[in-house]
Amino acid sequence: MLRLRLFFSSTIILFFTASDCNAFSAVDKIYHPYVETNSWELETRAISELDNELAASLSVYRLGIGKDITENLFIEFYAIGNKDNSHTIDIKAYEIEILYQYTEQGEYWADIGFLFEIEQKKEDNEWEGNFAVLIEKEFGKWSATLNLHQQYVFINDQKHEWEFKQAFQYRYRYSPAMEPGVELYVDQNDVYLGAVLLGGNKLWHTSINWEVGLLQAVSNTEEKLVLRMLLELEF
Amino acid sequence: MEKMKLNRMKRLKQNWFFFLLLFILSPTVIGERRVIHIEIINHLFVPDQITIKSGEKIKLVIFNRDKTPEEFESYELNREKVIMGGRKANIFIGPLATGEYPFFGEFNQKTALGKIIVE
Repeated sequence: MLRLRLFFSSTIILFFTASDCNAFSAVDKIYHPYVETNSWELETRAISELDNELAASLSVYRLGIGKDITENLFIEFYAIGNKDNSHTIDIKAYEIEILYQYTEQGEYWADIGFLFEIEQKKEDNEWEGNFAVLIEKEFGKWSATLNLHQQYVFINDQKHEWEFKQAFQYRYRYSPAMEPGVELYVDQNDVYLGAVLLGGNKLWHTSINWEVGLLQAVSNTEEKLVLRMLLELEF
Repeated sequence: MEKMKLNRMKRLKQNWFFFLLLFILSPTVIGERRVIHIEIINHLFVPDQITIKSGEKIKLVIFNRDKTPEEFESYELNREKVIMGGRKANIFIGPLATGEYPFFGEFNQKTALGKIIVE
């Protein structure tokens, strides 16, 4: 019971310690602390800021390929691109991501995993390291997931800074094809809150998973909407 | 003054992160779980039906005696795990509400079928 209180109180603390700013880098995806063994993963992600006419004014795309290395270690490589009003996608960065499943699902009070990421931007000689603790807890047909990110940004051997980012998802496992939920993203600059719909289907030995979310900035006076989409193939 | 306040907030965030990390990594005391053994033989779960009590926590030890891999899967139990041929895997389940929770083998869905009955 104490841990349950700590889990939710920490989420509330995160919500209220964020301050105002712009940009939508807080929104990404929610990582779960599990490694899918014996499979390859192909993933595409798009995160778009929507303008007043609900058209995407700026989008960030990711294309990744990943594979499990051991029963509890998964590695994935990403190419990251931006698209503004010019209608062309420019590759801006590359990323390597390692997910480590620390506990067996359901063994302890909550399931724990760790995420390590290194991203190199093509311009500015900017490097970014990210370490995250991934926590997931089941409440019957509900699942709560908390991602606590700590990032280190290193630019041109001159600028070094620590950044914090947290994300929370609460979803209802209604059916494999449809899981509604809510998500909260918090970093030092923004707070985004919104609804998501997740789902998946299996065709032979291939899983197709998708996620769609619409998130609203709640920390700014300026109204901002972010659309996030994900499509994943596991084979 | 404003800068001090910001620094204090930044420190609070840092400390909060590491305190939580310590809390997560600290040893967790858990109650005893009943261990139930299941074998996969010729793409069948043996036994294919297990009865447990409502609210009980169990540990399934699944031994895949076949040469080919099998994936234990159940959306109702929220579990998915690949078990290589000749290997064992542990699956932690519960506490569950009264009802029936089917599971199947992803690679042999016509034969590898089973269920957990919670009374």
